[in-house]
Amino acid sequence: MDGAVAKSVDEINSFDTLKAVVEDMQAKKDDLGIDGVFASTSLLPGEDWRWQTHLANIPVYYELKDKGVSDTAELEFTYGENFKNIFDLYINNSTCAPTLLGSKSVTDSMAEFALGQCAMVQNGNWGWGQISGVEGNVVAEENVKFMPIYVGAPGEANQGLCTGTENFWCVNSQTSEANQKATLDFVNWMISSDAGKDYMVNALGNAAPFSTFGDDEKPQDPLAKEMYAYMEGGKTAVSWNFTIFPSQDFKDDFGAALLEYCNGNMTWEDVADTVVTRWAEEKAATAQ
Amino acid sequence: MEKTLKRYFVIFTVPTIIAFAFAFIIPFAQGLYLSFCNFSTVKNAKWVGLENYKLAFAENQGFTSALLFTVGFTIIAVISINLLAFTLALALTRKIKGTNIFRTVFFMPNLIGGIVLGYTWQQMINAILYQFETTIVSNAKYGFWGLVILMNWQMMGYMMIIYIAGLQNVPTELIEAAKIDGATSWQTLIKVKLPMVMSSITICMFLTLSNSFKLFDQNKALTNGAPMNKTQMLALNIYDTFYGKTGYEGVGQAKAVVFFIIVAAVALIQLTATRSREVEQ
Amino acid sequence: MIQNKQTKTTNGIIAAILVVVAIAVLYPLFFILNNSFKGKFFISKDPFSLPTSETFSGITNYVNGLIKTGLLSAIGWSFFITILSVVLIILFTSMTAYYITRVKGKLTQGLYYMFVFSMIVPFQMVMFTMSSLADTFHLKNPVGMCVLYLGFGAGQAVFMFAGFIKSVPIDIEEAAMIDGCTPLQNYFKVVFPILKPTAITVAILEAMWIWNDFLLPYLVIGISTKYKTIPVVVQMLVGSNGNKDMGALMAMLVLSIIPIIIFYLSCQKYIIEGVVAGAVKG
Repeated sequence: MDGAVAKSVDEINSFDTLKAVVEDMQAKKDDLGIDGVFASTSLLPGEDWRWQTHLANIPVYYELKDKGVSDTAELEFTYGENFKNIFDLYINNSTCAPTLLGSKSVTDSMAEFALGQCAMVQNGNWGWGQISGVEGNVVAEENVKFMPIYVGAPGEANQGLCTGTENFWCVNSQTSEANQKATLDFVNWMISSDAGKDYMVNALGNAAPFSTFGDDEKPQDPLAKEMYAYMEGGKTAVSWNFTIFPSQDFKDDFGAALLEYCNGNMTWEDVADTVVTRWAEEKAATAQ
Repeated sequence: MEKTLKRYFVIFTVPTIIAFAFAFIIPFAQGLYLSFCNFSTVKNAKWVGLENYKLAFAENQGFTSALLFTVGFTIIAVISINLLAFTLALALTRKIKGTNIFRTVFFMPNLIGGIVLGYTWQQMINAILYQFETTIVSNAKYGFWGLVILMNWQMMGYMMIIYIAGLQNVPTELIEAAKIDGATSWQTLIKVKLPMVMSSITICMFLTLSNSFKLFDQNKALTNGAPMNKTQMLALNIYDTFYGKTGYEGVGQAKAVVFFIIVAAVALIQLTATRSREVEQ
Repeated sequence: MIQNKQTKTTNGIIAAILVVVAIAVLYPLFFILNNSFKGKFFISKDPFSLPTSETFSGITNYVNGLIKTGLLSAIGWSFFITILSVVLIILFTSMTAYYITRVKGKLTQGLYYMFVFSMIVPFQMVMFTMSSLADTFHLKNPVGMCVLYLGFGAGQAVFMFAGFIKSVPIDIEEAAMIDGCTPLQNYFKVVFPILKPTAITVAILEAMWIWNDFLLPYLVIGISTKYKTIPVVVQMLVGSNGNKDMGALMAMLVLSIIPIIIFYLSCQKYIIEGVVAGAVKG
């Protein structure tokens, strides 16, 4: 399109560029045939995990990296401004007004993307099913790509996708030895037998990190392929750190604060304050 | 006869007593004990005395704010429901055509369960607010008034039925006598009918009071306490303390005891107050 | 009483107002019915209009909702638990109420007060300990649920039965006993038939409570078994992580309400009489 800020996605490798492109697109949204650049930032209670967990991971990752630690009893939220930058970008350049976000669910956002009402949505490779499964889906497989979430952190030109895992298989330490062995047998079966691997890769769409999986045993959906491309492309992945978030309560309060911020009932300072205070409180409360 | 009956104690009472013990007596006693303990399961309790009770009222527990919300909600709900129900009852005791149909329609909402009701109204209210570019969770007042409207919708038919029965029991001679004495309809209402339906008022107030105060299902479904727990009522607060966090089970149990004491006190006061005003038929 | 012209006009106005109120009362039900026939993505944009050819989705929402929630099976379990609980409650609590009314003494009086006391205690007081107990004693299944409902509903039921029995003269029973009836025969042949109206009242009140109850089944049976009841299943549809289907929700809300409406319209007389009787006795 004429007057576009950037000619191709590859040119976007920093927050500032992203912001310029997004705001330009939002201004020209009618010409582009979309309702907004970003899908609605779902903040219906219970549906806010993309922000209080996944997006929140980024400032935490950078702060931990600065301090050279993998966990902390007190978060300073030094990258809070960066979070605010990207969050503001989301809510101010989207398919609906910020005050309506309290009624939007993740399904709503994914549907907006699938139906071509917006250009971008934040989610992970597990979201492919939610896009392809929408009746009236207009997004073709080859047109869906990933882009890193730039927040203006140092060295962001090399920032890749956020990757990691938050699910772990556990063996119950309080049960009988026979049961424990059965559990381990099952887990091994799951990752090494043909039937098990078929489940993991095809039915569950997992990108299994185990050495028992060969190169041809990877999920084939477009987002998974994109993800592998990024992983092998040399960018630095942002590791998932939300396993060390203090508690669900902390995340719920963070999400609730974001909702109030969008409603215009809370300032950003108060949100940042909530994050710092609740992190410390919950870390202390759940200390073993 | 009593002596023979006594020998059948087991058959007549034991099944009920066993179920009652399982569902009420033992859990109640355990709950009371555990409110003074720190625990995560019933088995690993450690005595901590009054500490849970002190913690319960700490600011970040939201118990006091939930209490205020609950009290405010209850007062408004009780007044509005009873006024509405009584007015409707007056209307439906006037021999208007279609009274039966109206009665059927007005009572129906009462049969619908709390969760289903809450979500139905959440959708409706959000649909209306959407036209104003906002949602039910953007401001606590929407949640508050949403609950009031919902409660009225659900309870007014039930209370109306009770008031109708009460009004129909007012002896017609008294009304006739008042008319002959030159009383206006309004005076008849206040001086003759109201005192006669006092027992209905007692029961209606008791039901609306306890239902409003203990409200849970509708609260959870309508807003689940959002935004930021500002529309969270007492029952929901206690539930969230138990199941929405980890490590606060003792505090949750203490809150439940306080909740129970408040409910009992309120019920007792209300019953004594209105009972004393009842007129013998 | 002959209505004069003024009363007639007033009544006319009142009737008109009542019609408006009635429409307002019925509207929410129409709202969910209307939206249950729209495609799920069109509901939030335009919730008040009737479905157009573009937005009409036939029974898709119903089919999706039924598959996602297993509502049909939930209806079955709700029926089973409600009916069995009510039968148990009527049977056992009436007998207990009879016993503690006819047999004087500290023990029966104490029992009576405990039952009445339980009516005031909010569920939150016992929910945690009760579900723990249910776990230990293998009550986490439909029949166990009915035992719990018998226990928790006993308070109100005993209270109401006892209230009625107190007013029944003891002569008939004594006559029957002299004739050689055992207390059990006496109870079922003589007393219970007299209790029928109260039994119906209790049955209706308890049924209304149990059918719509959410917390007890949610905590005891939970969402991971196949015994879910209707309120639990509806909550799951909304609370599920990630895939909220507005259309399915509307459809399931409609389906949840239909059995109630059928029950209500067919037993209306009994229900309303029962509700009034229950209130008056209280």
